[in-house]
Amino acid sequence: MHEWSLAEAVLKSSVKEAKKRNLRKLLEVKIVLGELQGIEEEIVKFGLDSLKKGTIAEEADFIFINEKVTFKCRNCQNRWTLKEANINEHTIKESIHFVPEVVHSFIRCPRCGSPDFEVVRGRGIYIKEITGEDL
Amino acid sequence: MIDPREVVSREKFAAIKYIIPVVSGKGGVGKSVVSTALSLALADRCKTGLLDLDFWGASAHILLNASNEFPEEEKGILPEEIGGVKFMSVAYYTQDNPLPIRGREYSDAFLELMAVTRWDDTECLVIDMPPGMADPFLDLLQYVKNGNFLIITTSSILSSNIVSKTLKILKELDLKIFGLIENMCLTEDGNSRIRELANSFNVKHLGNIPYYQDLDINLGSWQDFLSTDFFQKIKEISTRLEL
Repeated sequence: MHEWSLAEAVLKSSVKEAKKRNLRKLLEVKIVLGELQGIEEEIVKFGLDSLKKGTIAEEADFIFINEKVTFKCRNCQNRWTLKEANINEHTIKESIHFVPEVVHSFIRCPRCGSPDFEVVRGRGIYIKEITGEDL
Repeated sequence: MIDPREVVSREKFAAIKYIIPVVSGKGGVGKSVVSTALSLALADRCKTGLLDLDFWGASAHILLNASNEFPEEEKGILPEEIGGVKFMSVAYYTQDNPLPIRGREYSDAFLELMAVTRWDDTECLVIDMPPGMADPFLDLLQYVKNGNFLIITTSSILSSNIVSKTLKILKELDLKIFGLIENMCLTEDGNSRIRELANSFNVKHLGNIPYYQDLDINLGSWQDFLSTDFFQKIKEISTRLEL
């Protein structure tokens, strides 16, 4: 479960940001999970709850926000969703789960066939917002 | 927005005692073959890893005959161990398909791989870099502050000219350089211009590697690779690296 390493990354980054903002403790961390990476929310949550002990995030609530994918073709400006991308093969889903950018190895713009597209939203994990108590 | 991968990527690089980015600026000078041979040679001396950051032209996995399976997962991704070297490449996930991505996507994939790969007790990490000074080179400079660069050039003026620009940037940023290797030499002594280039930047000329016409037939199996004169030459050069 590589979600554990992502949980570790979220915790370390939240704590570092909190210290930068002179926060005494973290109260809430809003985490966005992009649909493309298919991260297991429960595993990230379990990781965060285990790792937060003894840190300034010990009492923090971790709020998860799921973000749907939008692909946009750089060639013809077409926009499409993950559902429309129709990725069914398990090993391809797994590959994208580890490194979302490899989606470029497996799909093309459904309108013009171009491999040159961007993931406008819903790529992977990021921290949207942290809140806490001032020193 | 806070990207959680940045902090851990920096930490992971900083925790490794020796990071050796193998760079040139010029393509086709043998960076992948040198990187792979060097990692196998160093594995006798210290716990060594090899990271292939040439996402567009990944080839170290071919030289190491890496598995077609995904690397194992355990609180992150455990690099496959081949010939005593911990190896990581995007090739595990592209399933031998092309990866047509722009720089922005390159940077994302770079951060993703670094954030989730467990190098653990690795003491020395060799990085096979793509040619050029675009995003991969700039990402490396941004996230790796403890690199000891290894410069690869051929005797050709076309290579040395570009390598001089790479050296100029590395010197301008006061980064550590292990030295320069002159690869695919057609004469035993190499080209005096390359020695002058190394001298002009106060960089060690670590050695000449002849052009081995039969090297290609021993590529594709790391065990066969170890028996080549090329590998022996790299092993000899590796003893001159101050680790």
